[in-house]
Amino acid sequence: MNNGFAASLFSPYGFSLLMSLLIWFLQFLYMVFAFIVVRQVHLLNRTMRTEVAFVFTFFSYLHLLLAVILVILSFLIILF
Amino acid sequence: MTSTLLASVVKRPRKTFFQGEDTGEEILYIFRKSHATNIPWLLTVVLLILSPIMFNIVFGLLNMSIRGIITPGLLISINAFWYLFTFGFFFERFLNWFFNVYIITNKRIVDIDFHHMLYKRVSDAPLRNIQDITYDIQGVAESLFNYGDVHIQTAAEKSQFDFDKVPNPAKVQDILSDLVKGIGDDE
Repeated sequence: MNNGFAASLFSPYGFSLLMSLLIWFLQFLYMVFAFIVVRQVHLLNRTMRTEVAFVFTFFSYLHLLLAVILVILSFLIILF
Repeated sequence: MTSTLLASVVKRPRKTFFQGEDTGEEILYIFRKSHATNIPWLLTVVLLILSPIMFNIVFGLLNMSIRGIITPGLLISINAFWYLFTFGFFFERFLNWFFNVYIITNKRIVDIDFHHMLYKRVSDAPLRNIQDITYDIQGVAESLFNYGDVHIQTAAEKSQFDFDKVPNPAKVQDILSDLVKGIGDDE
């Protein structure tokens, strides 16, 4: 059974699954980074408040939202 | 608003406050690094945007197909991640340029440095403690785009402030000299 599993990893399907899992893991890490960016923008705006602070806040949250959506979609791609 | 967002020199900025600003203190100038210093990372962003397209062209020219190995869903996921990463890279570099500022108020000079995402340093010195102001423009790029470093000697705890790669450093030196002279005349 182990030989069969190992062999399946090197099949096109197995390779694709492995790639999908790796990409999903990287996307998950990036989502954590996107959250840190949100916190950092908050700190930056607090250090120096400008009339465009809301622009940075908006894009930081948009960036985080897109990262979360991407993680969810990639997970669904792996499942189905 | 666009001028505030993209300017490397802002005179009397509106609705702008920094942490530690005193009552009655007025921001006279905000300096950022010259736009020319952003060219390298902007070119990187352009390269990142074009990479998937070039990748597909090369694969097409070589008559290779990766569809047997990488499913369409995975390909979309990779491309989406690539462009999200590109946006994140652009956003982070822009924030780095925008918030690393040199502020001149009617009372002091302030240097706000964000070295990376998790490191912030704020230094300041009263105008009356400024003893010497020099500037230098070194190399082809700085000469071509007229930007350079302004070195400010002070009698404060931090003895030297450096305004790195600011546009028109001669003008910055002149502004500071006039302000320091004005403080001296008042006293």
